[in-house]
Amino acid sequence: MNAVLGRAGVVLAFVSAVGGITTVTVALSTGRRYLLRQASALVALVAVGAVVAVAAMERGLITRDFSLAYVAAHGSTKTPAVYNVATLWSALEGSILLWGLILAGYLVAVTVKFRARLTDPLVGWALLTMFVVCAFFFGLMLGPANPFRTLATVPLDGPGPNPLLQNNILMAFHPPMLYLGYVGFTVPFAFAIAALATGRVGEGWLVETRRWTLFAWGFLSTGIVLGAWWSYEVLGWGGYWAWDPVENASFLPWLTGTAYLHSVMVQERRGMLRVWNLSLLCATFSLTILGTFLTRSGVAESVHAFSDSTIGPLLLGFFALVIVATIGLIGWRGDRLRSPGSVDSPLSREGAFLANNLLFAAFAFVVLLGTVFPLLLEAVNGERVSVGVPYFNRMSMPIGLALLFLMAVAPALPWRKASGETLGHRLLWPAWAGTGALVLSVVIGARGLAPLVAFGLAGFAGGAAVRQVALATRRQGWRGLVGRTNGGMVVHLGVVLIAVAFAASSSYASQRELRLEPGATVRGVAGHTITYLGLEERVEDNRTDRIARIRIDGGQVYAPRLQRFPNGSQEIGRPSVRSTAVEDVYLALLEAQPGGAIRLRVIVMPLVLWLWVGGATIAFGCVLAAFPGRRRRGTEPTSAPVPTVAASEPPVPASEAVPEPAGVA
Amino acid sequence: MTGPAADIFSPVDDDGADPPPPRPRRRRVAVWVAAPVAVVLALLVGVLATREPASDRVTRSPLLGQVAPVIEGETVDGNRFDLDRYAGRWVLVNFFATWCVPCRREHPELVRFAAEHEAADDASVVSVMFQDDAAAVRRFFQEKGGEWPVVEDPTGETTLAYGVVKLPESYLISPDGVVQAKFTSSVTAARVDRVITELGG
Amino acid sequence: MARRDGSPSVGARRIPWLILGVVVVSALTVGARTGGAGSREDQVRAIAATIKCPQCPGQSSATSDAATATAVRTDIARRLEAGQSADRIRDSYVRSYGESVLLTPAGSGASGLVWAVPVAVVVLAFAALGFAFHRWRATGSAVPTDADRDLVVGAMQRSHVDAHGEGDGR
Repeated sequence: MNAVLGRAGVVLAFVSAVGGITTVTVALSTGRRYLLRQASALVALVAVGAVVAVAAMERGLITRDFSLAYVAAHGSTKTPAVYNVATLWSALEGSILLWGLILAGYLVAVTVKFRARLTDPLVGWALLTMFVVCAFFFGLMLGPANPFRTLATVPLDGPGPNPLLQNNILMAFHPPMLYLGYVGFTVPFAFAIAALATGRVGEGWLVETRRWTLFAWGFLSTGIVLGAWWSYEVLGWGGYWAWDPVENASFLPWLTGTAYLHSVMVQERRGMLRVWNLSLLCATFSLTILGTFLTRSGVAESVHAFSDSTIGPLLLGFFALVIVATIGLIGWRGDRLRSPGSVDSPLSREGAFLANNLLFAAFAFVVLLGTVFPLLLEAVNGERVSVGVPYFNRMSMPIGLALLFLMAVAPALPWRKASGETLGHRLLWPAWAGTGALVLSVVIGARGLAPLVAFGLAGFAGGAAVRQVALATRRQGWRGLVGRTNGGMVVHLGVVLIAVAFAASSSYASQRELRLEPGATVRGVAGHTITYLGLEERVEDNRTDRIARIRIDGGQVYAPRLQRFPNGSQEIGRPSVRSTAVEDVYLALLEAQPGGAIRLRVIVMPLVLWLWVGGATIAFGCVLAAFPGRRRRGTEPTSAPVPTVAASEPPVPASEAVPEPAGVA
Repeated sequence: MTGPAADIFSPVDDDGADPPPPRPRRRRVAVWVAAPVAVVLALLVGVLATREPASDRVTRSPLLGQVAPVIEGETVDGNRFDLDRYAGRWVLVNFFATWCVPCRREHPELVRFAAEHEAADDASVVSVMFQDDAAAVRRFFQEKGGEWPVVEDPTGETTLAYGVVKLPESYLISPDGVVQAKFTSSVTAARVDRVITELGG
Repeated sequence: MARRDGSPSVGARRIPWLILGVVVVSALTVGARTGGAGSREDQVRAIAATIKCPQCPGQSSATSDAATATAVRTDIARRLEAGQSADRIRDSYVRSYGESVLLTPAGSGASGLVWAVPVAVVVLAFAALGFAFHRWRATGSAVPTDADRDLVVGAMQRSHVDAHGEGDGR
């Protein structure tokens, strides 16, 4: 029943998507605009199909319908209800189903938002692009990634999802957030294709899709931070980012997406950097597809990878199609995209954004190169090398520091041209903040050139962001907190917090492995006292836990444990963390012997909590930024007004006419 | 000038206010930049398309053709062991553990290999146990047979020196002390004999 | 020496920045002096972090708890006790496992490209940027002519037609 329903849903969605492609193509080529309106009916059908398919799968998971191969492979009667719902996205086929659902949701949202303009070819081309993407993903589900395969002999129980995916509630949130981000970039991408295809490459499509991009970016950022939190809480190695290919796959579109978010401001204000913006946006979408390929094809060595090689070639083919289409379109429209304006001075907001684009593009290049380099080298001369954490850390550090610097300076730079005087005046207070942060760090005892520079620059950037918001609130009251610029400053603050936390926790972590007998106390573990109280065994309905009770500094008792699930032969460790604003004490139980002796790993890392606070700040800043600021039409003047009187009046010098940037987009 | 109702592909009418910028020169720039980018990405796609999954990848041992690393230590029977004493004969070094299921599966083949070469006395088997218990190993050999020395490797030094990734692995060393072959999946006596014959042993 | 309008002179404005510069440089000089090598355990972990765990996909021997990874850490500790240097330890692992056991590719040969190419790309990109700025500055800022002003006025009047500011692509 579930299988039939689910399959019917997938078929319906696929057929409707193909129907949508046909309808819109006919409409655009023959000029029959009314057909575009009918495409909205097909959008509704795609959504219905997706919802039915997901509902069927969830029903199968919740009712433990083991006739479905997917449920039999990943569900279990012993898994708690919440995790059964989340099992949808714990393995390959189900995650593609989730992707399809979210894509259909975005398609409906676009159709509803632009319902008044459905007959506009721009919207038509955008719908066409989205229909193509839908057809691809639902087509995958019809063929190689079929989630509704049935089993001839129905087993009585299943093994349940991978144990690592079962012991934390964050599992429920991380993939959907990530997908809302990934898939969300399809919408601005579709409009970019539409703009290129129709030749209407002005600023209209950008302004329309600004909130969609922000939405997608916000979810992607939150998804990445949640993934890091989950990695920290669940895997016992005490880290949150390992530059693993799957992690890089989510980071790459984030990098180009962030560059795009900033660069569009230049196009909105001055009509410049059009090629950059289109390229960055198309790169973001292409990287989501490439990332999905890397994650699911298994070509890159990763702890996270889903393992299935049949959809790999198809995803790679789609990636090739996307880049051929975008490079072709951008190359074809290249002449139209060149703007008559140019950057007047490197010391200007445009110059800073241009440098920003370059830095983010370089960062993305470095991460991509590091991820695929072993594959490339092997293809060229058969050599086997590994590219791991040390490479990525060393390469990303200078870029990260340069970005922190830009984050501080760019909001203070006026458009067109800055004078040293203006800049000096605006940056003085943030510079004091940065110097203060640096001196404070040295006084506290932090050592090492790289982290200290990071702290100083973070203070600088944080000071600039706070100054901006303070000025805006002073001028506009509560409205000084919302809108693109001010929300953006709050996001910058979040990034600053993450930068500080990252620098501190990676440079000043200390780790000890202790062999403890019950009742033993060890002092001086990075300034803490660890008391091992004893080992306890607890049997839950879906697992057996061996829990070590540890008291830290004579205070609260923490319980790192080893968990054994029915389907696994090894024990999975679940760490226990004491988080304070100053530092985290991370306990991971490595081994527990029958007599009660244990091997315990204790890691003390400063400021880890601020990673998560920073992530929440970024999300909050996105919400603030999405608030409508004072609405500005695309043709509103942004510089000093041009008088229509004769040219006998001398032009107003840019440096003096530039107002203090207010909280307006 | 017509608005959004213009044709979908044709450029919108110039109102003649300014002469359009010289088209051919600008278009060439776009193509000149797009082409190399397309080529690089095509190469990337080509490379990615031809890779095999990471889990299937088998690395060739860098020890092949090199002098075999030293194996020195105590056997489970308490005797001293030194690989140098085996110069002049073929040696099959087998890394195993009693908790490793494929190791237990391939054990009869090692017994067969040792038995075949007992008469000619030209080849020997040596086992190295990794992270295992000597008593369990002795029991295992008593049950399953095998009269060759089993070297203890408490520090894991020997196992790492031979570049062992996953148990079981076996290395064939020629009489002159050079590593000639590495067997990863369950080894059979026939496969080892074939290699020895090929190398003229 | 204030100006006639009361704002501080160029020299006076520079003073706070000079102070900041001095403070920053001295703080960095003090702070950049790192302590000794750290405990044996930290040294082991630092070296293990550059050696891949032999049996796990993509983890270092410092962060993995697999059997071979713990064996690697024990082995590194033993070698450090014996007085071997970090490079010598890494070399012996490369002899046993091949280049791919090191988590950072060597700087020489084809694998050195992974270090060289990003640096080259960044240098080229910023050089191109500098060149572009130079060219833009050479052509100078445009001064609006009458025709330009009329264009702007016309565009503003027509804006109700092109309500979304999509322009005509020019």
